[in-house]
Amino acid sequence: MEERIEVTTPDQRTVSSSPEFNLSATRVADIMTTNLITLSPHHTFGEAVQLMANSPFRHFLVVHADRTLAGVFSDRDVLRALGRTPNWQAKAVSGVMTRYVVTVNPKTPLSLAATEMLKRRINCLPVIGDDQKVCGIITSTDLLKIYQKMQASLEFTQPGTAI
Amino acid sequence: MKEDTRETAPTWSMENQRDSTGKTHCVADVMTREVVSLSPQHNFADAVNLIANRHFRHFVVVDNGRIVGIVSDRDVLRGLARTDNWQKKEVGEFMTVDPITVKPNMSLATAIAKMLAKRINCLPVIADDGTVCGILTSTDLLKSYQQVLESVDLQPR
Repeated sequence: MEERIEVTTPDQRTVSSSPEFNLSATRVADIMTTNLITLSPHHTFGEAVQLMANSPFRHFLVVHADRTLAGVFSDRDVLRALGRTPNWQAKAVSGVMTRYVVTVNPKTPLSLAATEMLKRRINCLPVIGDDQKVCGIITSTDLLKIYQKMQASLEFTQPGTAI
Repeated sequence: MKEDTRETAPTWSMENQRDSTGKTHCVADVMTREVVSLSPQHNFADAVNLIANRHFRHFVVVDNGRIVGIVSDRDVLRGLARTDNWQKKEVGEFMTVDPITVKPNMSLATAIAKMLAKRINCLPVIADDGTVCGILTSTDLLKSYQQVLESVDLQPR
């Protein structure tokens, strides 16, 4: 397989706007992750499972050569496939991934992104720019990070003030 | 997805983030009270089936009324990647033993910080008598955050 798996180290995959983390971040672009680990549709299921088992991430975007989105490969896809697929190691990522993916735009409000995640029971939304190319990913962890900062600042401020 | 045309950044309302005494939310305010548990003797296939067919990703493992471990979808995934005859393994062999737990009265900020620092998505909530009274998952927290965001969206400007 000539296409290689692009890997960034975990500490590179930080929230894009930190450390000046804006507590009143309201749009996806404010907190999305832009350093991505991506897979190609031709990687095998076995390769993808190994990558996932050895990385802290649960979601990988599957991206075509022109950087448009092919699908999302998540740990849930793995579990579902293992339950029903004999000879799973040899399958291609494209046969297992989620194809019909809900995506957001960098300008999407965070409240809508959170609502979509909860409604669809997913933890990750690919962020697609106006040029239809993948520009980032927003996960439930990104949202928890900013929520934690908000709660922490609440504990240190008086009732009745605005952050 | 609806376009948001707001130009100015909103300020968070503090008032609806506190109870009537001015305290911020704690773990008990947002945790899930209904907890699914397995015993250490259940097998790997039981765990895979539960996770694949139910809407949650974490089980507590309880023995004689006390928590002894937790099984997450990550534990199952790791087990599958490493083990050949995985169907025959028992829950007690691949669960996370001595999981990090929290008390019901812990502040949300502290609980979320724990979750993020340990890269976990679930904290069993243990009452003072040692029993499991709930679990706090990242989904519970996301719901809570979403309510905050919506309250901000609805504020008059």
